[in-house]
Amino acid sequence: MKKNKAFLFLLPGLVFLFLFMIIPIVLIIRSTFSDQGQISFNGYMEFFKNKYFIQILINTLKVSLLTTLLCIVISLPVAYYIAKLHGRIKSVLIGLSVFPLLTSAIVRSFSWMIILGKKGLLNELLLNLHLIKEPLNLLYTPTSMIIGLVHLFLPLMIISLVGVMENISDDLVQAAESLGASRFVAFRKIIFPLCVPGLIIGSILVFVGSLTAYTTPALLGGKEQVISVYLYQNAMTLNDWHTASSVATIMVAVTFTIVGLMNLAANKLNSRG
Amino acid sequence: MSLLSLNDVSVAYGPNTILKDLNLTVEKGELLSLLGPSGCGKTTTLRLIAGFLQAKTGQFLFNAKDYTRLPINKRHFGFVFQNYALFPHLTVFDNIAFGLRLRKMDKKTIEKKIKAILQVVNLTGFEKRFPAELSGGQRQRVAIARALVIEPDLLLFDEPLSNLDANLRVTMREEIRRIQQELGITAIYVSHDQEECFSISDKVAILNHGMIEQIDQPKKIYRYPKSEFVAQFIGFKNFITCSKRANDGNDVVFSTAHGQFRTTPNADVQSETSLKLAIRPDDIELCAPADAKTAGENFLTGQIQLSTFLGKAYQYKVLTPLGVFHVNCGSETEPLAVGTTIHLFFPMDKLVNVD
Repeated sequence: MKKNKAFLFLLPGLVFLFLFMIIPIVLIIRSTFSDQGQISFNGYMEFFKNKYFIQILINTLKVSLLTTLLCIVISLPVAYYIAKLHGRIKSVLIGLSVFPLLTSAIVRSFSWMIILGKKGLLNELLLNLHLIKEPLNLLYTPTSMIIGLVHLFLPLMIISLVGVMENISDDLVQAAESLGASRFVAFRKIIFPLCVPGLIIGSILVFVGSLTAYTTPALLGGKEQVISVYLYQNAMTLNDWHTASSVATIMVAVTFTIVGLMNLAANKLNSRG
Repeated sequence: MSLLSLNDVSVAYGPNTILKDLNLTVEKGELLSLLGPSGCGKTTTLRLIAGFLQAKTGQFLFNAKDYTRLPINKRHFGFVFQNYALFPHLTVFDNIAFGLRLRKMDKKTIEKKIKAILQVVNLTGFEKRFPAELSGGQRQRVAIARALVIEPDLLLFDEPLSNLDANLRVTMREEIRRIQQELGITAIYVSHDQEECFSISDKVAILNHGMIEQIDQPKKIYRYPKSEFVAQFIGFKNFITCSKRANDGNDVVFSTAHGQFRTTPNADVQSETSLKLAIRPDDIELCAPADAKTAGENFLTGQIQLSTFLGKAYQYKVLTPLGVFHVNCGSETEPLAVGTTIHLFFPMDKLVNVD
């Protein structure tokens, strides 16, 4: 087959995406800029004047950022350990770390409710150990939301990091050590920079995932609102599709900005030729 | 007192013993090669000295100090890896500067040192390149520069040339020798290539199954291998097992069912009872049946079974009453046909008694 005909293979996918993704998104975005048939930015203006909404946006970003950071901190050693293994045990550990993704979000969230509740497992345990006097207020707080999100998205970060770490030869660490670096310095100056590509991919997946997650924040977040829950309420409960569309557009814009910034950071950090 | 000494060192992975009570000494300024087939423990010995792995028993002394449990980064040894192990995210300059920066040197000193070392390895002007933009030979020279620039007390090479093509290997080994001599640095070099080791070393240690079979100057090992294993490893293809030995003046005469073989004693062979003789395919001569120089000794008759063209010579596989012998003959003459009966002469000064 001639090369210039090869693009035909892309056609089914492109048609599907165009009909069911591009057109709806364009329609939604267009609708946010019109008010009774006229072009207007009123929707957005009102939005950004609304302190409540700004608070929700900041909360969401904060939760997503914290989730991403926690995932990085937890995943780095785990991924390093897994990457250095071989054979069966490696597949088993990768399988285990992917497990959270295979369970339903609702089941997962209810499990956390049982663990984190006022009379939940964790509080009972701490009380019985006399480490606390009063039960901790964990459920329906940002803490419980972040715990749920980290649990959900950790596999994505681990898998991304294992991918890059597998390709870092042990010799590099030994070379660094023979030149006078301690284990820690070798990790910081050699392993970590070489992990950046995987770190960026993992961070984008986790951050965007947390930003748009609905079930987990809705079930574990309680009164604490995030943007996806706010969007759902506007559309489904208040039937205010105009506001919901504006919120959706803002979410898309925020996502693109974050992904762009991360790519920029990746190019800065990883400048090999 | 030697600069480096390993005393009764053993290394084992689980039930597999890699090194058994190994003893090794290296003098200051010397280049010692560890040579042997794969699995003989040469790389293990090198990694042990570098600190990448720990001895189960035994002691490693360096400069009269106990280095056995010293962490890698406190040893101040340079290590050159088989796969170069350059840091892919750093430029040539930053790769070489890595060790210097850890030693908290100021910027100017670092720049001066790197400039000087790049001159030594002939890579001036490559400072800003990344490892991916260099050829194999250039990468290896960066790796050597990186190990050298910290002015290590000892330089360790782990088969540094095995990923390079044949011509470059020869150039690079000359370079390594030149740099080592120029800087008067003590070095240990691991390789499985006999020619490479012999050409650059002051001393060669031949290892087998985690033990040193022989350690000596290359030319002495080449001429007088101590054991059958060493002889085989360095190109002696022909062995004669005799039934009796007797001293005759300065010579030793070995008897077989098919004639006597006269040679001089091998000083390195300890046992006076060793009955094995070895000779290289290049050293066996063809002669007429009643040649005067044979005098009935060091002489065998056989039939050519196979003839192989080696380029500079024909190699004949000759079946004799004492077994099969490999004989190389210059390729300028027409090859002898398979089945031809020929007479082999074993010059006394080329025949070696081995353990």
